[in-house]
Amino acid sequence: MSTPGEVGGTPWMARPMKLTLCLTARCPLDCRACYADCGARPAADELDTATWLRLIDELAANGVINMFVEGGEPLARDDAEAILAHATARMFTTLRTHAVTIDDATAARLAGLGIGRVYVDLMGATAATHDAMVGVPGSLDAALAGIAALRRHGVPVSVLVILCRPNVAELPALARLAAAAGADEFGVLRLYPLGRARRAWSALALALDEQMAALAELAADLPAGLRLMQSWHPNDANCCWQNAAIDPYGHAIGCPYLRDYVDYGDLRTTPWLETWNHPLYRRLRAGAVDGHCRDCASSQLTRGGCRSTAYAFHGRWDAPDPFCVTMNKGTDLRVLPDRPV
Amino acid sequence: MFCPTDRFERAAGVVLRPMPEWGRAYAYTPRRPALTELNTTTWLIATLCDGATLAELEEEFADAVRRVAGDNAARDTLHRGLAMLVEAGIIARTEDAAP
Repeated sequence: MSTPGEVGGTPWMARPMKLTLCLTARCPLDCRACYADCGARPAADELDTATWLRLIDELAANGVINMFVEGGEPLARDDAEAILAHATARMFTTLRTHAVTIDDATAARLAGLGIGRVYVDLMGATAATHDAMVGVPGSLDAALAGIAALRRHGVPVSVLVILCRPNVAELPALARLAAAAGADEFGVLRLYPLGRARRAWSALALALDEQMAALAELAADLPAGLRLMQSWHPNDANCCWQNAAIDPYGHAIGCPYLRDYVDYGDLRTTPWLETWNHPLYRRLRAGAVDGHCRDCASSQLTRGGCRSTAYAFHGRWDAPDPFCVTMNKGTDLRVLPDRPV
Repeated sequence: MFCPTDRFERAAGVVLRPMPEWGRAYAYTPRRPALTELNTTTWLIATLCDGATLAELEEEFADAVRRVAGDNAARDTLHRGLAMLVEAGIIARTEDAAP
């Protein structure tokens, strides 16, 4: 186990308390910005039900009390509700979904399971934009119906959007749509260089000044009652230094946005807490990053921002996060270097 | 308002996650899904609630904080902390049925 003063966390944590569980890489949609290269058919080597339940027991026994379940589309697994029920009995559990399969009965069951919050991805404020981004006609209407069902059953809902060129002009309208649908939080996420999004980068990515302008316009006219969450450094405190994640195949990956870049161990054979002390994991948590602001760690509990993006653009784990206005230093975010993953 | 004979214990299903390295703890309440951050004071109070009566808690808490608080301040702090923990569903209060 790492100890204070050693490399291994800023601020130091003996064991992580929160974890992202990437339950599956299957999904009924075909999103242009998909980070997990999801498909409609399950991959043969995804973890089975019994292994997920065993891992959740292991996580709970080692202090995880906050679990964010995402995919793929978690609800595309037949055993999703059994796995969620196992988690909610042990830890605060939230769910990320496209919501297209959530009808009234599903919403009632999710409420009954004790899901703490559901995060719904919308990729545009209009059917033309959203449905084109997710590749399935009728998806926006289905997602809005899913949100309405969740709200009828009292489940708190956040709407998430991955900010990219096809939807940037619709950001204020999407915030209004989220508020009208009953969401109390609107999360604007940056585009990450993963999966299909990586391959479609030049068509999707915005320059940093375009992103900042969109965020400023949104913040200036945010609907009443809607809380804004955004993932640009220095507001990405939920990051390498405290996060843990498991991919659909049972590999510890630290953060879902590192899924293409790291493997801290196979949890079918390696104790989960052992992966927390993987040398690279400890190094990324330490926040040893070139060019970060001196007061960043004290105010934001993180130094140097996202390691996934830094590595994708600069090829170094100690490189600055180019999505930070202070550390960007002229990096054109519309041009992703051709680097092997 | 609590009575001296009221008993306090961890509510059913509640998970307490100490974070000693941060000087705080987190409580998960599955019956009303929420994660609540506890400071060192409420964390201590939650730990003392093992079925003890209010009178016993007042004595134990006063002992624990004697170096930094007198009896009256300790009692006020305990009652405020207990009220918050009961309101959040982290601690359950049972009225003593004994005469």
